Amino acid sequence: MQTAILTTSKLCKTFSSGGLQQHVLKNLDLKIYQGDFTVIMGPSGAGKSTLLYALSGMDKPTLGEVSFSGQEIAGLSNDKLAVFRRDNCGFVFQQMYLLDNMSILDNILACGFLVNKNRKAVINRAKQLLQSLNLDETMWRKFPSQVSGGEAQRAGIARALINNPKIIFADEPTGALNSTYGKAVLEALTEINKQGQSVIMVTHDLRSALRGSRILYLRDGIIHGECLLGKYISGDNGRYDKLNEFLTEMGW
Amino acid sequence: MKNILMLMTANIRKGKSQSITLLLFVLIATIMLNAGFVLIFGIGNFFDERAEVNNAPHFAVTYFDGSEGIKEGEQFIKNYPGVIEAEKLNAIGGLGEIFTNETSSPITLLISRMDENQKMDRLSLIGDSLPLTGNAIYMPYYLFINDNYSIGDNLKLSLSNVELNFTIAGATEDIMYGNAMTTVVRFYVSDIMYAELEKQISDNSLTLLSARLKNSADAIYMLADFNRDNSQEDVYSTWMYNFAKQGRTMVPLIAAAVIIAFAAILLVVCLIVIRFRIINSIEESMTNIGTQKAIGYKSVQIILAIVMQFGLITFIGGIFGIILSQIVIPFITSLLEPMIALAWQPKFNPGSALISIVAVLVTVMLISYLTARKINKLHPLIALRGGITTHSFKKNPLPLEKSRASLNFLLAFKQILQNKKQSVTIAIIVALVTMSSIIGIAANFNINEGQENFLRAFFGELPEIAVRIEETKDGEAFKERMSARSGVRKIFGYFSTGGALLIDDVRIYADIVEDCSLMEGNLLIDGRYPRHNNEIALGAAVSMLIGKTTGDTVMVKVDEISRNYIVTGIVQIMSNNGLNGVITDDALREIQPDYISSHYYVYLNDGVDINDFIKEIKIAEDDTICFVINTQEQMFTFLDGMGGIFAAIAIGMIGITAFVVILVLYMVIKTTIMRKRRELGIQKAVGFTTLQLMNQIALNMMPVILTGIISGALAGYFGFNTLMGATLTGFGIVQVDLPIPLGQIIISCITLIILAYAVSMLIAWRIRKITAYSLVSE
Repeated sequence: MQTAILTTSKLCKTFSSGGLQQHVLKNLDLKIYQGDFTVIMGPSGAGKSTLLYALSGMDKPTLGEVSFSGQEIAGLSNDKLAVFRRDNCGFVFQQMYLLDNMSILDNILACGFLVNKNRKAVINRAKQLLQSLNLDETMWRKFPSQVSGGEAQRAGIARALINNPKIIFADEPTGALNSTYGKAVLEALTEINKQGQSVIMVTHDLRSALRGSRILYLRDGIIHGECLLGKYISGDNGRYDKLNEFLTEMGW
Repeated sequence: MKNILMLMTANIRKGKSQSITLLLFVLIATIMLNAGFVLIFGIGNFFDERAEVNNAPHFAVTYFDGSEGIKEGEQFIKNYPGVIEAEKLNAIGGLGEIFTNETSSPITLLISRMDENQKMDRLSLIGDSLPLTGNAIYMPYYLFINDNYSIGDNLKLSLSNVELNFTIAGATEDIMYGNAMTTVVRFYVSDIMYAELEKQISDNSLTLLSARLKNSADAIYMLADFNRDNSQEDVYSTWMYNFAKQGRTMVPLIAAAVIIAFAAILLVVCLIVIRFRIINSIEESMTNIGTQKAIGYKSVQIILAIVMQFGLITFIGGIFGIILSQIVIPFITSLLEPMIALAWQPKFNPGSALISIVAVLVTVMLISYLTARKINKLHPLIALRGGITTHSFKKNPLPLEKSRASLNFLLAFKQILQNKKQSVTIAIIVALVTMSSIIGIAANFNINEGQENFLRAFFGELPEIAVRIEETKDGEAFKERMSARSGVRKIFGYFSTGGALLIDDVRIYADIVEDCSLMEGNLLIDGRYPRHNNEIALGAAVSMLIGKTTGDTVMVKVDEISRNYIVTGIVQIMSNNGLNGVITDDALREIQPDYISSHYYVYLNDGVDINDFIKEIKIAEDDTICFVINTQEQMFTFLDGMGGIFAAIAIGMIGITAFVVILVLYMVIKTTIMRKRRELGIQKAVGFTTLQLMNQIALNMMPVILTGIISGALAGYFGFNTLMGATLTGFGIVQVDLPIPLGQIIISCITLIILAYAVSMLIAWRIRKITAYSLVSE
C-alpha cells in the first residue's frame, strides 16, 4: 500500500485575461505517492506546469484543496508557503534560475543556510552533492554565466536537494539542454529517486518520461489517463513500448 | 528630429516615476536658487530704491539745541566735497525707555513732528495708518512688527523720566533711523503733540543736520572727517547711510548665500541622480540600444534623445520651480522683515529666473551628455547581446562558505560590494544632503541658542552696556566711579570709529581700545593684540589687500600726521567688509594727539539687571553721560531677527535632507526591485519569505545610507566653520571657530537612519507583489 504524499481534491485553476476566463485545471482529484517518480505529460496548454506549481505551493489554486502529507497548503499565506517550500520541496526549472550574482556553490549554500543553521553540515552536503552530480571543484567558484547549461542545471539539482526535500518538482528540466547534458540531468534525477526521494516532473519529451514510474496524461485540465511503468531500469525496451502505446492511446 | 523626439518620449514614458523624482529635485533646487538670487540681487537695490524714493540722507549728525557745534557742523556739511543737498530739522530726543509687555528697554529716541517740508527721509508709512491727531504716534516698522503691535494699540515711552503715552497710528519705513542696528530710533507725532512734548521735556530739544552726497559710499569718509575735524561737544549722535544699509541687508545677504549654497548642493545631487539614472538606463536598455543601432539610429540620435529627455524634465521642473518660488520668496522675505525693516515684496525677477533655469539646465544637459556619450562606443552587436559588462561578475565577494554572518546580512553585503558604483553614488548623495542639514542645524544653534559665542566671534566685544560721556568730562574719574559701583566687573575705553585711519593708503574702520588685554571677544586670528604705542592689529581684509601680516610694518596716517606701526596680529570684525583694525588709545595719540577717549564698554557681574543698572547710572551720572546702550539687548534683538530665518533654513534643510533621502531610496529600491525581479522570484521559489527579502533590500541600503549620513555629518561637523568662514569672507570674517551642537547632530543622524530604514522597508514592501510563480509564468 503506497502512501500519498500529495493529494488534491476538486483542484481548479482559472486564469482571467481581458475579461475572458480560461479554466486550466478542472476539478482534479489526484494522489501523488511517496517514492514515486511521477511524470506529467500532455499537449501544450494542457495545464501541466500549472498543476506542478499548484502541487508545489508555488501558486494557489482557484478552488479545491491541495494536501501535503495530510496538511492543507492551498490556503496558506505566501510567506507560509515559502516556508513550506523551503522545508519540503526542491525545484528544478527548465531555465535553471540560478542567482546570477552568486557563484555555483553560493547558490546552493544560500538555499541550505536558509533551513539548516549547521554551517559545516550544509557546506559538506553541498560539496558532496556537487561532486555526486559530476561538478568538480573548479566549477564551484564560477558564476552561472560561466558554466554550460547542463552544468548549471546540475547545480540547480544540487540546490533542489540541499535541504533533503521530501519531494522534487522538475519543470521540463532538460528542455533547454542538448541530449548529452539532458541525459546527465535525467541520470541525476533517477538516482535521486532511487534513493527514495519523490519526484514529480513535467515533460513532453518521451526519453525523459521513460524515467518515470507513473505517467499521468493531462489534457484540457483533466487527467485523461495514467500509466504505471515501475522503477526505471536502463535498457528496458518493454518500458518504451508500454509508454508509447499509452501515449498513442491518449492521442499524443 | 522626429525620431529623436520619439525616442525621448519613449524614454520618459518608460521611467515615469523616476522622471517625477528628478523633476522634484530640479524643482526644489530651482526654487532655492531663484530665491537666493532674488535676495542677493534684490535686497541692496530695493534698499537703495527706497532710500532714493524717500530722499534719504547719507550723513546725519544730531546736536543738543543751543550747541556752539551746530554752526560748525552746518559749515562742515556746506563745504564738504560731494554734498548735493543739506537739511536742518528740529527734534526731541535722548535716552529713554520703551515699555512692552510689562518690561521696559532702554532706547535712544528721536521724536520728530510730521513736517510736510521735511525733504530727507520723508515720512513714509507702511500698511494701514490713522491720521496723526491727539496722542497718535508713528513708530518704525521693525518695532511695530517685532513687538506685534497693531494700529490703535497703546505705546508707552519715557524720556528724561517723563512717562509718555501714545496711540499707535502707523508704522514708518524710516531709512536712517528705523532698524534694530540703528543707535537712534525715530518716532513721529503731530505738530500739537510735538509742541506739548517740547514744553514737557524742554531739555531734550535736538537739531538734526542731514546731508546727501553725490556718491553715498563716500559717507564713511565724511563721517571720519567729521569726527576728526569737528568738536564732538554737544554731538548727540552721528549716523551714515552705509551703516543703515549694512544693518538691514547683511542678514538677508548671509541667508541668501546659505540658500544658494544649499541649492548648489541639491543641484549636485540632481546631477549625480541623473548620471546614476542614465548609466542604469543604458544597462537596462542595452538590447533596445542594440536594436535601435541595428535598424539605423545613429549614436548621436540616441544620445541626443537622452540629453533632451533630461533637458525637458529639467526645463519643466525649472519652470515650475520659478513659479513656486514666487510663493516661497514672500515667505522668506516675511521671515527677514524684522531685519530688513521695510515692506519688501520682491516682484518677479526675470534675470534671476533666467540665471536659475539656465544654470540648472546647462549643468544637467552637460552631465547628461558626458554620461550618455559612452553609447558612442557601444557596438550594436555587443548591445544586442546585452552588453559585455552587464552580467560579468568578476569577483564573488563574501563567499558564503567562508563568511560567518547571518544569511540576509551576507546576501545584502554581497549586493553592495557587487554594485560599488551605485553604493558610492548613494553614499555621496546622502552625505551631501546630510552635510547641508548639519550645517543648517549648527547655524541655527549658534544664532538661536549659543548666541553669545556667535556675537563674540563676529562682532568682538560683548559688554553689557556701552557708554559715551561728554568729552569735557574726566574719563578717568568716570571710570573710577563706575568701577567702584556694585555689579561692575570691569570698564575700559573702547570706540569703534569709521574711516579715521589710513593704513598704507587704505581707509579702515578702527576699534580704538584703551587696553586690549581686557578684551573678552574672539577677534584675534593670528598674533596678538597691540600693547605698545607703535603697534596695530589689522583686519583680515586689510591684511590681504595691502599684503602685510603679523610682524610687518605699516604706515598709519590720520590727517597729515603719519608714522610706522608694527603689525602685531590679524583680527576679524564683521564691519566695513573686513577693512578694519585694532589700535590702543595711546598708540593712536602718536598720530592724533588730541584724541580723547569718551566711549566705554562696561561689563557687569552675572545676575545684574542691565536695565536697572542703566537707570541707576543715568540718575547718578546724569551730568557726565551722553548716552548709554544696552549692547546685549541690541545685539540679541539683532540676532533674534536673524533667528527666524536661520531656524527656517535649518528646518528646511532637515526637511529637504529627509525628502532627498526618501526620494533616493525610492528611486534606487524601486530600480533594484525591477532589475532583480527574476532573482527575487527565484529566492521566493526556494523559500525566502517577503520579510527576509525586504530585510535584505533594507540591509543592502543601510550600510550605504549609514556611510553617507556619518560621512556627511562628519563633513558638516568639521566643515561648518570653514564654510561659514568662506560665506562670510565678504563681511570681513575669514576664520570661524563656532561651537557645533553634537547632541543635536547625533539625534538628527539617528532620526535620519531610522527614517531611512523605515522608508526602505516601506518601499521594499512592494516585494510582496513578486510571486515565485510569476518567475515561471512570465
